[in-house]
Amino acid sequence: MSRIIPLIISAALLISSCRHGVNPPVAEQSMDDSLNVAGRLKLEKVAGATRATVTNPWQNSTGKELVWYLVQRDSAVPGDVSEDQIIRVPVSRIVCMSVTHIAMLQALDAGNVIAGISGSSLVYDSVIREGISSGRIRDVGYEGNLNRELIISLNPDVLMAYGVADPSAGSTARLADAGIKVFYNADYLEEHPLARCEWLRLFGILTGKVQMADSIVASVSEAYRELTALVRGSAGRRPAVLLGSPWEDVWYISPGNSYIGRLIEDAGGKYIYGEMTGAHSVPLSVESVFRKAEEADIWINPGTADRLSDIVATDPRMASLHPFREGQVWNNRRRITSGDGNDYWESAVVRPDLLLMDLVSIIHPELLPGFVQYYYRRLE
Amino acid sequence: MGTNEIIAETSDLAIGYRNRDRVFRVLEGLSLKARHGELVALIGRNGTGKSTLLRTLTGLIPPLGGRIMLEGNPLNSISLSQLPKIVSFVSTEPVAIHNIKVRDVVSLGRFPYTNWIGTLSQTDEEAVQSAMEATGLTGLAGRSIDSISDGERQRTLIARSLAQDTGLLVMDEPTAFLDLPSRYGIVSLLRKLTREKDKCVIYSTHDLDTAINEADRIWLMTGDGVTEGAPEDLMLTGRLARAFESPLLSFSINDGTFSFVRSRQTGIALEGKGKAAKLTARALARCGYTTDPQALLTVKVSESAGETEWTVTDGVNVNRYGSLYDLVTGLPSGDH
Amino acid sequence: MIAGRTRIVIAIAGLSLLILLLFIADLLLGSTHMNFADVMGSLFGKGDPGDEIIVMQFRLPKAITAVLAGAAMSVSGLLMQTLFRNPLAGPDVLGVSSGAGLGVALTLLTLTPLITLPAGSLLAGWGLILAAWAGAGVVMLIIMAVSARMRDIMTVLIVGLLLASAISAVVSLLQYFSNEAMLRTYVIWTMGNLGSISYPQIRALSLATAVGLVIAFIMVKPLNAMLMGETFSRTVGVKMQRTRIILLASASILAGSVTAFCGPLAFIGVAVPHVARLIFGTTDHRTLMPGAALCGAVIMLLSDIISNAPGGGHIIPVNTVTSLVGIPVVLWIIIGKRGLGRKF
Repeated sequence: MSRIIPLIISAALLISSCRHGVNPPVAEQSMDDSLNVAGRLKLEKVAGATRATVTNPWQNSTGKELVWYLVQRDSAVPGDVSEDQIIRVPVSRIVCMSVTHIAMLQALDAGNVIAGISGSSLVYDSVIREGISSGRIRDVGYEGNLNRELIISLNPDVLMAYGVADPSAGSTARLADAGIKVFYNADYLEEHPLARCEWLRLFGILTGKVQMADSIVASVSEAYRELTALVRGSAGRRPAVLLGSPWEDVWYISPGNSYIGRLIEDAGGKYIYGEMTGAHSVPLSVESVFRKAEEADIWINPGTADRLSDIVATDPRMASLHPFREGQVWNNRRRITSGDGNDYWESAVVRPDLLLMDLVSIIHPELLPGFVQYYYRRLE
Repeated sequence: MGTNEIIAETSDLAIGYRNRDRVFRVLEGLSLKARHGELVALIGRNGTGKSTLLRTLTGLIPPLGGRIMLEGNPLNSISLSQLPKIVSFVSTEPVAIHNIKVRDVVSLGRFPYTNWIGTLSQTDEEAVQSAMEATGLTGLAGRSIDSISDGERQRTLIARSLAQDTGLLVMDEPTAFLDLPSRYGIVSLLRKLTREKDKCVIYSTHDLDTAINEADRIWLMTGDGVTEGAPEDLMLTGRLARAFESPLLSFSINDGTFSFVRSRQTGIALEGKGKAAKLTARALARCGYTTDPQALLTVKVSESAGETEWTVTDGVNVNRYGSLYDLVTGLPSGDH
Repeated sequence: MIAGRTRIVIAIAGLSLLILLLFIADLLLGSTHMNFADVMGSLFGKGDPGDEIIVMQFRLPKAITAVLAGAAMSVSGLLMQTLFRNPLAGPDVLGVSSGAGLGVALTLLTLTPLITLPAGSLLAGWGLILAAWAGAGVVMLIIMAVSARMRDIMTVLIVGLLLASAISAVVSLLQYFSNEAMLRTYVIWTMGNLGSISYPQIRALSLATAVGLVIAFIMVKPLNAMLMGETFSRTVGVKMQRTRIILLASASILAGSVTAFCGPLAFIGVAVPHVARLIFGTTDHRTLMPGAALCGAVIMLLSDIISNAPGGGHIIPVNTVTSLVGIPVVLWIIIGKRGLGRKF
């Protein structure tokens, strides 16, 4: 058992070194004939191209499918497919709407194809930030005021977007009319951390770094699964975990089947609202959460607090919470920029294994003694 | 007639409005008086500035020139706490509140005398009571103001002014929109206040009849200024007639009233005496006939057994009628 | 109809009793229902420590805030209705609530917040409240300046409404440029909140409310005169310009403070004075002002209780509840036999 830990650690180190390592050969295509990647993405080889099917790419959609054909630059198009469904790969220019897209491209060492991003102040990666300040990467605005003309002038091969509600009436729809290939990425809707990571494969195809993407996904998944097995194997109680923070009279509670809910469970914790299931977070009264939080041993993700005093300033009553009194308050703000960038929202999507390690070391410190968290920090 | 002292006096008063740097003069050179125990009626055609004059007298609008003296003191030297004890004002604004009792409205007249929260002392209660008695409102004291008639509402506002215990009461069109008996009732009430309580009441009105019959002093406002005097003075000098006469309206000194100008009329001889004959003449005048003993057309008014009968003859035909209406309908129209 | 004075006494006694009962009920109800003994025990320091925190730190501040907010908003609305001779006037008519919202929006919605305070400082928890107060204060000064220059009170009303609209437009603009997280925090603020107010903040709110109510009560005599119209008021010796400014100041202090601490609370200011008029059967401000304050406290406590009605920690935002309570009242004014605007 104790040999596995150094194995995992070395695997982690190996993978992180790969991010800045050798470039694998371009244009390698090796993939199973069809791969049901994650819940909302399906990649199939069809007549030499890859058909990417995205299911239910925005909230509250049912039965909605978007189909793209990713075709090699010099290959023929599979018959009967219209031009506006085709993306030529590898792409040379991408505009990204979310920092998770940036993280995935950086993981594949393909940051040079990023031509524009939305919300440049939210970026953590220093290389990308340099690109932004040098003007190589442009800020295209976000949400309601997308700078459509700028996007069009950047002439991207694909706009990696995400839809919150049905975007058919929104600015991204107008761009599709103007001939921009708008790819609605549903990674943020995936509930399982590994499912989110697997979207890397899409980027692998887009950038022509399929093998690299596949190997990253494989090793991350393996590391993740091994760690979960380790946790499950260890006997002992499961510490209760509290999430989130109050604002005014309301505490938004993530359901048990959410991304973070699953992570906590896989890390051997018992999320105090684990029984609550749903698609959205639920507003509850502060009083009721406060009561329930008495059961909690650990408090994770208290909003934007960096110090215990921040929590007290927002709501002094939280100081009487059990995890607060025990000094067991942890926030995912170890890796932040002076602006609004937080690597937790960026690279963690590609490295759920690191995230899991952080959480395991917080919830079951006895399993990973001496481990220094990557994204998380205990609040003082 | 009471103390007869002058309570309000203006000399060379100019009234109007100032809007930033624009000055709009309505009238100037007004030198007027009003005394204790006097009922002063301010009459004049629409738009001449009656409201403006009244509001200037009460201090609501600053004068553009000249002087106003109240109780011997210049208006602008009287403090804001003293002024409400000297002059009260009833404006044309309707009462926009329901749920307030008559007694409470009248009690608001004691505003200048009550303490910071408005509690009525013994003196205040007595003033309110006597105001309501003078205006005949004691039976309505507990009623809500929107449940009484227009005339009673007007009396309530007058009672409120009365409760304010001022020597001078100024009222802007207190008889507007009231029915005939109410109009007479109000004016006779005002008369009573001047007689019995030695107050001076200055009121504006369009109701010439009551004004020239009841007022002690008329302020006649025209585009050139204000003339004052007893109603009969103004009739005598012909000013009253000139102020209101028009091609349609003429003033008769005999009757002291205005009447319609009749165009060329046909003559008709009228035989008969008494009330019936007089009224027949009126009806005939309305239809364009004037009494002419020489006329060929004759109408005879005869009464027998309490019934009146009219017989019309033009020398040839004879017609009989049982009512004045039938008579005038039967005659051809006399206007030509 | 019971005679005037008796009716007033009964109404005051009844409302006071109701406040007491609802206050206690508000302490008993919440995400979990506690029984009377437990609550009383907690209030006097003899209860279970877990319960005590809930009662003393969560429910008691909420109930106290409800009473203060209800009283303050109602009296503010009463002042506005008399000042503007309009039965539909309320504190929002001045734009003061919007001003507070603008202060909050500037703090919450800009990417690099225009108003930031060092997190560890003494003022940290107060940042939002101060921003809201500042916003309300600025609008109040503008309205008072307009009132000093304009003869006609209707002009002031229109300026207040236009100001509220303009601010609304600016806030929409800020929202447009915000991301989801910020938007959510702002929207939650606009839903009103009675609970997350600390005891020092309650002390501040009490002080502001007391100041506002005292000023308002001192003005009852001119307020009663104003019922008869502005002309009458002037002819009995009311200094209109000065009176207006004082009334505007009092209404702004009351509404602005409540909005700064609790977010905008809809319809209470408009509806409660009418409820008070109905219960007390009078327009005399000597009775109506304390009466409106009592009715406001009752309705606010009731709204707080209703907002917890779904149970299990689920809540209906306070603003929604006050709207659901207030809108039928406003409709009743418009449609009821009195008719809109004719009288009040």
